[in-house]
Amino acid sequence: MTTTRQTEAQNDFGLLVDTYQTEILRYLRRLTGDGATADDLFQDTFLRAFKAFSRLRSNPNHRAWLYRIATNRFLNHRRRGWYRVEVPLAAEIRSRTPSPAAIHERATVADTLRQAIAHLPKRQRAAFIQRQLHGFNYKEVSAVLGCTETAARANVYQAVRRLRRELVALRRTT
Amino acid sequence: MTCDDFAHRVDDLLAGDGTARTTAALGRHADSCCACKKEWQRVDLIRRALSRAGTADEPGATDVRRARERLRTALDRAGHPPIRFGKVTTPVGSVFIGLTEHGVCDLTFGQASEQDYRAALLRRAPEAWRDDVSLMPVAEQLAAYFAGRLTRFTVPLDLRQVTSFTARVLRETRKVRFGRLTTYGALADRLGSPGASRAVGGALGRNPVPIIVPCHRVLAQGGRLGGFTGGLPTKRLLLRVEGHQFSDPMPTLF
Repeated sequence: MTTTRQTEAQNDFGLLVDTYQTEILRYLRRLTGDGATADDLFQDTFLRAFKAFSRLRSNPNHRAWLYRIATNRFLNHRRRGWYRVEVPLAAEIRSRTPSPAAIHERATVADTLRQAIAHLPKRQRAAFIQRQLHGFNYKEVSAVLGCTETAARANVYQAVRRLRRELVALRRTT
Repeated sequence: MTCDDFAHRVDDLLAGDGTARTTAALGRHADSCCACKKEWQRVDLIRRALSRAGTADEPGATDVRRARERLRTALDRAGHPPIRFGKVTTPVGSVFIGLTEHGVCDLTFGQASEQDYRAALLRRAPEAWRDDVSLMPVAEQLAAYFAGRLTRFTVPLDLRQVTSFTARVLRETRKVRFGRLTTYGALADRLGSPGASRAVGGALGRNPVPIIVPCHRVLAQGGRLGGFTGGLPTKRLLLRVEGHQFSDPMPTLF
């Protein structure tokens, strides 16, 4: 009885989507910083997942498997002007007059950070977001990126150092 | 702690590898070193922004619903519609019926359990759930057919999952009227493929909606019954409903 139930659940793509749709959409939004692109990659991810799903035999970790597909979709995604649409960061911050309102300042710091994350090379961005915002350990990051744990860790640290450089102009104004 | 250590430990902290002790030690060093104090304030800003960065991209329930709807459409367009199904009792036993938004896509003679039938549907459909209400028009037509009140099924069909040859064979089969009979060979001739009776037989064997697409009206040469997915007794019974007597089975090879 239990085995039938389990087989059924493993076989149930709708249930898989129910379980992970919010998390995967959140992840893709964080990766792309753009709702429309995240939506496209979401379709792409689950379409691919469905095609591979029936051939998937008792995969113990559907979550990691979906993250891996989503990440590959993101890494392979090319958008015209992807890097060009973003503004040069440090210069912009320096020329900006500090706002007196603390709330506005807080929003600015968050926006600046988001832009800095968007400027990271894609693999570093994916590794950093998985580690910092999704709480993955390096083993999980390495499984999703398809690399060694050492390489996963290196990607996260490269991202951190780059973020610190990009955010060097941030000043505490409160 | 040296200022060098400080810089490295800050990396640890921002990589998510720091502990409360790391934070405390970094704070102590920052208090004693003017240059690092500024850096520490910046790091504090980054950390607080990071903890908020997660929520900025949080998809709302509407976003998720919209993405899910788009996924359903995309899967449907790729030939993988969700399937509703139900079980109907007929004089030939219970049958399972699968239905997409476009029409009936499956009719299976029901020896299997509901769970097994659903599992079989899920091998090609992303979603499958029981919905007897949607199936009522089909159930009504089946009941009318077995009562002899209906000679032509008008429920829409969704036959996208079959190959184009099978689809052509099934279309031609639908033209064989209630009470009439034909043969695999005659059907092949009508399709412009004389001699392809074997292929026609194979295609009919893959008929996903028997009874509704009346493959039981197609017999082998010389009045032999031929084959039927639901078993020859069922074929015989269906033909009897349509006024043919095959009560005394003709000898067949199978």
